[in-house]
Amino acid sequence: MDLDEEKLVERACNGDVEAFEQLIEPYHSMVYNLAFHYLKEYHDASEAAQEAFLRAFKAVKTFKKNSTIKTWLYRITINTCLDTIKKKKNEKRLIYINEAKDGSDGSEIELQIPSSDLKPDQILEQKAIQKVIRDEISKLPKDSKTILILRDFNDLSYEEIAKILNISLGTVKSRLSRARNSLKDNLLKYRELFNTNGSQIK
Amino acid sequence: MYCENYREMISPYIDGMLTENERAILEKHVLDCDECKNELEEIKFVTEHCHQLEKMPLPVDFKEQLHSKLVNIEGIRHNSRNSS
Ligand SMILES: [Zn+2]
Repeated sequence: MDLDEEKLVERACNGDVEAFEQLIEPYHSMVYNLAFHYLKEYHDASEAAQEAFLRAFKAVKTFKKNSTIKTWLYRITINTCLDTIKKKKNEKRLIYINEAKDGSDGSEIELQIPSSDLKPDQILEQKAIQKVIRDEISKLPKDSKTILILRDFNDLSYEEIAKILNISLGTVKSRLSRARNSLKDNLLKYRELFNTNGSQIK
Repeated sequence: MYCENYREMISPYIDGMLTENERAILEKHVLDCDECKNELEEIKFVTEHCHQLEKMPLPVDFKEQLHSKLVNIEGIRHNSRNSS
């Protein structure tokens, strides 16, 4: 943690909202995207991300100076998302009992891909591939999903992941290996989609 | 070593987390073993695609909403501090 951050943490501890906002500003997108991976829906992701920041603000006094804001926020966000999922599951159960008429479970996502130089059919294809990968990641067991998101979506190092999840480097390595294998196996059924894109999945 | 042992090296290999020696061992094996070579290519392919996933843009009102929530809880805390 650098000196500026340290000062901001100190001010945030004294209830300075503005200081806290400065501290977390660089991590807005990261936290929101992490939440989106878990919840797959814009509104839920936004709510969970904000909840994570609120929890961080309330707990800023417990932030240890030898850790980093980044790993600390990741940990809080993951916990917040898992809590949200648990809560939603309970709510869903109630909804099913009360009214099973709507049909949609709100889990469908429409991906917004920023404009690029790709031709329309290529964009569609890329959109489809991204959706398939996101869906398959979200279907993985909790541990696999988390480690994949941290490493392959957020580009965190093995060391950072070990700190966030409080596991050893060896566990990071083996868990990630297992997660990638499962994802690869689950993606094999979409072989054709990837093949048109010059894939190596055979 | 069995293929199974080499397979465990694939994921850290992609991340550059193997030692020089381990790298060389795996690279030599996939020259002779088509199955492990295939496995390496597939996992590399999937991993690269994960890295390419687009970041979702932050909702436009995200900062504003968060700000009012933060001010709100700080206000509550402040009041309870004053009254106690
Ligand atoms: Zn082999």
